[in-house]
Amino acid sequence: MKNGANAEHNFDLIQRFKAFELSEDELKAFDEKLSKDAKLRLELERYQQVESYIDNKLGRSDTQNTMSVHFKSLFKENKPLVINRLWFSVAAVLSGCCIAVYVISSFLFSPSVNEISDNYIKNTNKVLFSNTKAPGTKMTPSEAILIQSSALLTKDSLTSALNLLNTIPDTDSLFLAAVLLKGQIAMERQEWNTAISLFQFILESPSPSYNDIALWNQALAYVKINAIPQAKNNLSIIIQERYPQAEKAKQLLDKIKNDI
Amino acid sequence: MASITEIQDWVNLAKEGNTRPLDRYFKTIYNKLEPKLINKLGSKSVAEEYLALTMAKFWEKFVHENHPLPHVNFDAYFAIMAKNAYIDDTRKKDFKLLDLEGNLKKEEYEEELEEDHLEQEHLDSLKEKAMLIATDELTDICKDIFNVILKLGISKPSQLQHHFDNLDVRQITARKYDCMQQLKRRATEIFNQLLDKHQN
Repeated sequence: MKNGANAEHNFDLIQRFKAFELSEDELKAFDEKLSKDAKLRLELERYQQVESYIDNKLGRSDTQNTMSVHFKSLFKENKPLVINRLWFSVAAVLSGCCIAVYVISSFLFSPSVNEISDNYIKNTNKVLFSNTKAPGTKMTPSEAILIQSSALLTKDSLTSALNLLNTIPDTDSLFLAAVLLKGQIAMERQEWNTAISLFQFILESPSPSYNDIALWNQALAYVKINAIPQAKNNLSIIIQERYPQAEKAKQLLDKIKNDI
Repeated sequence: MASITEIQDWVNLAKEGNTRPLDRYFKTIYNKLEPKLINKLGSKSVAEEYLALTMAKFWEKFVHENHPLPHVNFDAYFAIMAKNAYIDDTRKKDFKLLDLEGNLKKEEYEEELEEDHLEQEHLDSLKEKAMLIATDELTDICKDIFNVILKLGISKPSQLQHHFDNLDVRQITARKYDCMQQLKRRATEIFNQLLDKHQN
């Protein structure tokens, strides 16, 4: 009976922990207990395994995966500069002068849509795969290939990555993820039409997991081949669906509209 | 540290499509926690990975599923959740990353992968069984909600509401959450029993 009551108590704690419901003191106590109580640690592990499985089955993982990719790219952006008051004053005066110069020069030397697109292509963080599986779950051969290809991509070994990805058959459940990586390789190689086809394949698949990434990359590829109506269409969908790239999509769409 | 009212405002803006304030908040938290997490987790990429996963769970619950924010210390929460997710992953992880230098023979590696794959399939079958038994024990309304989610592939309360005329979106959100909590809890209990049975 005591064990049963204890298990009940632990499940309550685990579920409240996972739901962001523990107060500061409870959270601290739970964290300490986890480091000492092997049984609680195992219960948390098992709970997370089952939770991850159920979330995946019930489609909750899609949002989490998309947002996780978004947050990782967010972290990689430059840290804000910390400046003291003196430097702030100097910067403010300089900024005033710069703004005037900028306003004049922006009319004269405004970057083209193509240049902005180039800049976005250069600065868009690639979506890569690493081992973030739930505790206790193991790699399938295709998962290992995705991870290895991602590692090769970061080392610019594009051909090796592509060769590996081509070994994942189209019947594999991870084929779509392989297509995503292939699309990004095509973008890197500036093979715009190939990239457009690969991202189109993702958009036509029933899974919405990579739609935002496919729409954004495809829009940039469309700009590069001067297919402006198609690019506008993609950007409008990104904005309408409020995908993480919505802000950038709006800037690019405004620029396209202004230039036209 | 941001107040709950401020974070709630940013969550509300994110729901309307303006994610910038919430992004800024998450970025600030990341910058603040980065040194501690790198120290605990060993590398910057691991710190990024687990913190991003934790923040994605926050997004799912409070932006996507519309739950009200509880009065908790989110800074501490993110750090502890990321750390524990990492500990659980590494404790259980026995997979070997494909050896790029070729230290592991290809045949050996493929054999290991095959064994892992079979064991994973077995674990997944136990989880599936546990989920089905647990679902069957739930109330009718929970069963109905999960049936609609599984059959139609929709999960947002606003979409689910079209299939439950007698419930408004707020009620659907609350019911779905309660049902999900019951399902996960019961499925874990059954999964534990199945694993024990299998190991004995």
